[in-house]
Amino acid sequence: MLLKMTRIEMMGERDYFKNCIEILYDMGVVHLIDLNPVIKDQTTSFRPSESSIAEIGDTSIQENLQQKVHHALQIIPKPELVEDVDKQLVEEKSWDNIQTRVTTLIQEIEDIYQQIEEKNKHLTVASKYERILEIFAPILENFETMKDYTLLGLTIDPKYKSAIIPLLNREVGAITSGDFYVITKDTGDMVAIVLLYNRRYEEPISQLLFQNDIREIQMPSDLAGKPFNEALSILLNQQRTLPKEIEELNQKLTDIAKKERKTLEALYLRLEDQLSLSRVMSKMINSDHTFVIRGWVPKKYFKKLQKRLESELPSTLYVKELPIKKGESEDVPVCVSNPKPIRPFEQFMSILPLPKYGAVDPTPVVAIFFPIFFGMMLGDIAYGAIALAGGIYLKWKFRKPVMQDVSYIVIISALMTILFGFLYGELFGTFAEHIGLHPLWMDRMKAMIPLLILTIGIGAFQVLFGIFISIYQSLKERIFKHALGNVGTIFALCGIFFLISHLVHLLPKATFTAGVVLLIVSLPLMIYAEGIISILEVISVIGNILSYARIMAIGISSAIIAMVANKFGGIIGNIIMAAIVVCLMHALNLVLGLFSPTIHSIRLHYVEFFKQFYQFGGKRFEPFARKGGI
Amino acid sequence: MTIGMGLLAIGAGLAIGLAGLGTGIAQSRIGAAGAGAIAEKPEVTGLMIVLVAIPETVVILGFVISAIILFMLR
Repeated sequence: MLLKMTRIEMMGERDYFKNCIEILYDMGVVHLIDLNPVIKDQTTSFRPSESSIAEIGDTSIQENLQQKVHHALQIIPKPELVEDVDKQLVEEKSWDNIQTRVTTLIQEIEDIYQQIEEKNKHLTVASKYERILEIFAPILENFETMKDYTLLGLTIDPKYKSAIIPLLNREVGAITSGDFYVITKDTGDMVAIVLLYNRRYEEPISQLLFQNDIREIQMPSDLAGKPFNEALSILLNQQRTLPKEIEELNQKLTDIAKKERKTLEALYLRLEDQLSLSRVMSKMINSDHTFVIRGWVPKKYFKKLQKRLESELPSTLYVKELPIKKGESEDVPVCVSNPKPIRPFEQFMSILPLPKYGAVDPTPVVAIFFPIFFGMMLGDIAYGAIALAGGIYLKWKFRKPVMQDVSYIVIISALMTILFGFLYGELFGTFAEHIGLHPLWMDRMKAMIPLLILTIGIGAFQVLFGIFISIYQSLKERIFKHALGNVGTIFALCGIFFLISHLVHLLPKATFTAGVVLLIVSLPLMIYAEGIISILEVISVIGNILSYARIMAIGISSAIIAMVANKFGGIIGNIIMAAIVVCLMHALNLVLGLFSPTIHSIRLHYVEFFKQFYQFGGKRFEPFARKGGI
Repeated sequence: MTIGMGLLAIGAGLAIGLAGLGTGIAQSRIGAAGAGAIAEKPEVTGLMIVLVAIPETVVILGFVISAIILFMLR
């Protein structure tokens, strides 16, 4: 549900401005209103408050520092044992002092990080040459670089070995008049060749290699000018020493993290608070002697806020409620607040834009119908039990609020799945029959048509409920024409229902007359309210209702896959193979069975139900509140 | 088994088959656009999954029609 909001104004002596801000900041229930447009283009002694608070300091220093602290927190690990916060630093008054002390620490962290990055880069390059190093290192061990001589490393495919090695010996021998040296090594998948010759023959030998398509081993760009054996020895050295050096640097970072992580986190939150304070400060105005603050407060917190302000600040401060004028409802921020059992389902609403102020928040309806739809679709004791175990594991393992909400939804939906599993008599599909478990309500494989009618009935109920909410909203906003149009739609739907029921002999003949009368009455109502197009709207609403048939369709498809899995297992003679196949098919069905009902349950709400009444366009309630500190 | 029953069976097959084809075409387009949107704004992932599921109404209605036809065959 959406909380009722009230607009408040606080006015007081300038000397108590900071105290007032502190109380508001502490209570965190006021969404501030920007007062700058009010004083703009007016001759007034009031001005924005930003410049008047010396304590805030230079925000550019704080922004810069916050960025650096954030970066440092991203770099350093999260060790388990961490030392306590350095309160002296976090509570330090002078931002210059904080900056000086923190910058040194952050610089150290960034330097270590840079070194790790650099070394990792070299290690990645060296690892690409692993095979080359493996082959050439033993050949070139103790091989000294000779002055005026060039050393080349070549690799060729073993199938060309018999042609290329004699060719090299012959041609290089001819070019250098025998002043050369060749070593070859065949590893099976590659032939490594080391060629040593006098530097003055470099050009004709390069040409010879090029003409015969013999490729020299390309060294990394930073070792390009070095002789082959030297470059190789550097790479080998890097490969041996870099992992240890990287480990040492990582250890250094961990040590820093153990000592400083909590302090940096606390400092980050203090900076966040400080910056948010300076951001909102410009929304308030003050003169030389007075300050004015306006904001939105949930009505239920107003008295508490007023009491605290009046008790802690002198009687010169006054707090009053300002009435919301007609047409101002668009400015009112929206604060969604539901009872604890419903609150996790607000996650589904977070995908959609916020409802506008005064509209109906559909979260409670989603909280009731989502698990029911999910359970009706999946409806299997075993699948439900597995989902329940998964939900409990999620709840136990992940402490983040979002994951806690998700696990709560999973647990509720799994319980509904188990309940419907008993009602349908399904445990791994048809396996329930073998252990003597019978449906408490219906066997959905044999009762497809009744289930179809039931699901469409649920759809009709939910869609009509949506239309009733729309009528309620229209009446509240005094848009009578729209309400009348909706009444016409309901008449038309009832009329169509009576006609069809009579045609399939479900209801007596009198309902036919009632149906015709309802249709005749509904047409002028709808055309008067929404125009001729509203007739098409009725067809669209019928489509919305029929769409609920998916509850039956998806449910039955899941039951059929489970049945096929069991039958498939029965066909295979080998019991182990049968067990594996059955398990795999049930696992697949379970994955599909968890995914599909979730998507379709929520989609039924978004597309079919919300369409009837949901009014979005609300502004989020963002109270001025403390996030961090120690 | 009469010719009429055979035609009904073909009708049931066509009802779900063609509906599935239509849904597939629609989902392919939404999916492609959705993949692009998610690459730009990962926070729309949840919404895109729901949007991809929207054309499935067609195949579900196809399934319902097909199921009703098959019941007529019994």
